[in-house]
Amino acid sequence: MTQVLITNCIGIFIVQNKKIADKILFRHLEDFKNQKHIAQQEAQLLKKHSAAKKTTFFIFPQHREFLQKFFEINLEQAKKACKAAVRKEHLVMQASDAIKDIEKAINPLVKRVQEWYALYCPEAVEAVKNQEAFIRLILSKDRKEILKEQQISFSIGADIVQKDVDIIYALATKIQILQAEKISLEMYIDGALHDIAPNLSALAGPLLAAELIAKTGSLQKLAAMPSSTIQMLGAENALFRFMRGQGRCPKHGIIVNYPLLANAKAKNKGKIARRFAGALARAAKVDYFKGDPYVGYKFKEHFERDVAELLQRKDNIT
Amino acid sequence: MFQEIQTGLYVEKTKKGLVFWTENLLPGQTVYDENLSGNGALRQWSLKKSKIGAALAKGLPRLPLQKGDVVLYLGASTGTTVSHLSDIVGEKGMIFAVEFSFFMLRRLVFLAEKRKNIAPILADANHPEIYVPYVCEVDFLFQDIAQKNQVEIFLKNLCFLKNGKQGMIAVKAKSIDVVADTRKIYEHVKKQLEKEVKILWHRQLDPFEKDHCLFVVEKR
Repeated sequence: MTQVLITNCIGIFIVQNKKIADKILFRHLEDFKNQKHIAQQEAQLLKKHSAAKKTTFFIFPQHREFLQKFFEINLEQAKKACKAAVRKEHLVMQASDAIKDIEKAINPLVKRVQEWYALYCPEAVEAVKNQEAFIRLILSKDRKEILKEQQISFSIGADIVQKDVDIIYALATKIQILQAEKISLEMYIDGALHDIAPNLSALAGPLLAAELIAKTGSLQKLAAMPSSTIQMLGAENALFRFMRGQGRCPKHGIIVNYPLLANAKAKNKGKIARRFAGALARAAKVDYFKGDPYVGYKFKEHFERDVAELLQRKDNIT
Repeated sequence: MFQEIQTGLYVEKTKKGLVFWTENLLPGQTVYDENLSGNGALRQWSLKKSKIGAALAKGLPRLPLQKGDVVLYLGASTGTTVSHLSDIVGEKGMIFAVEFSFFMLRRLVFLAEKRKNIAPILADANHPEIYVPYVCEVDFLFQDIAQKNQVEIFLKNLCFLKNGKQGMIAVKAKSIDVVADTRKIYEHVKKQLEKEVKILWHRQLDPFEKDHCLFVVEKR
């Protein structure tokens, strides 16, 4: 049986017929990372066992005494890997998800305040439908001022004591804080994407860009995707339903949030989505390989011109 | 009434069906939200969260696993199933838990700090050559990876398994093909596996896991 030389994370071994003939153990994990050190030690062992051959892919035989060592090295390595794995993208993804969570949280809370405040002053709720504007209104003006503004002399709301009104204001204040937090998160994402995905951000806007990265898991995965996959991101269920033979093929996934696409007519949506996804795929690739950070504006211009031409052509035909 | 199937693994017959328990390596401590029994000496094996648990409920007679065995676990995730295997192999055994996502590995690292027989590895199971220096020969191979080439990955990693020992693969049909008939996929997987190994047992894991099939194989 021939002798083989194996180098693994715990040491350098001469193995013959699954038995260890000779060994040099590493003192710690750094030794395994040090190529020079390994080469020296390997040469030393090979001098002693001239028949041994060096292999790179050889499974180390199971020996009880080394199991503990394997455990220690792997745990140390895993801890270091966890620490090193966090990148800026992960922070942006969390911020992007946080915005979504805040949006989800604000909506029912504002509705609650509207219903609650309507007991006191239903005129204000009736006049201002916009959620943000409503919260701003009730916090900046009291009932008298609101009524005066709308030139109403008699309110149909109940006259409740100040203590009961204050508790509504307290909740409204917290909602306003959440709204402000959302804006600061958006600004944070904008700034962070400037470093990691400037072109994608320029083309799609920071929020959509962050959402795309969050959906795929990393910029690397997004860059490796074909544009057709990017077009369908977020519409997986509809797509698979279509592939199973039910329903119609979805035209777009989360990229529908892009204003130009959202405002388009239904018959043009598919065409615009395809063009937009193509531009996104290009921008993601440039970003991942750290290319020209300003080319995104060019893509955007090109895409918008393309869409304008398409719409013109469509109008001329019909 | 607890009945011992094999060392460390117990079965209890209840009105609702069979319930499986493993002997707790750290008495009194839970890993996920499982039930404890006998003053924390036994941990209930979740049938819905663990594919081996589901296989046991579907009639897998026994696990090809003993105290002190060394295991290679591909796709360890947060360590639900890993913790039960760690119960069975005991302090003298070792589980090399390979996981690709650092997000999941973090939980595994915390688990490994408590249970000294789990060695977490951050690596892609698709490239065994990367983690070859961190792993030794093993007595049992388990794979639970939702990838299109999951069978290929399993065959690649068979080299770590000792000759004549057994391995298990949980195949997720929807990862291989979303549209195709699951039975046809299993047939294809079976053919693929039979080229390299002997299939001892296989069963679909419905209703515990949808569109999953577990194969027990033996390396020739």
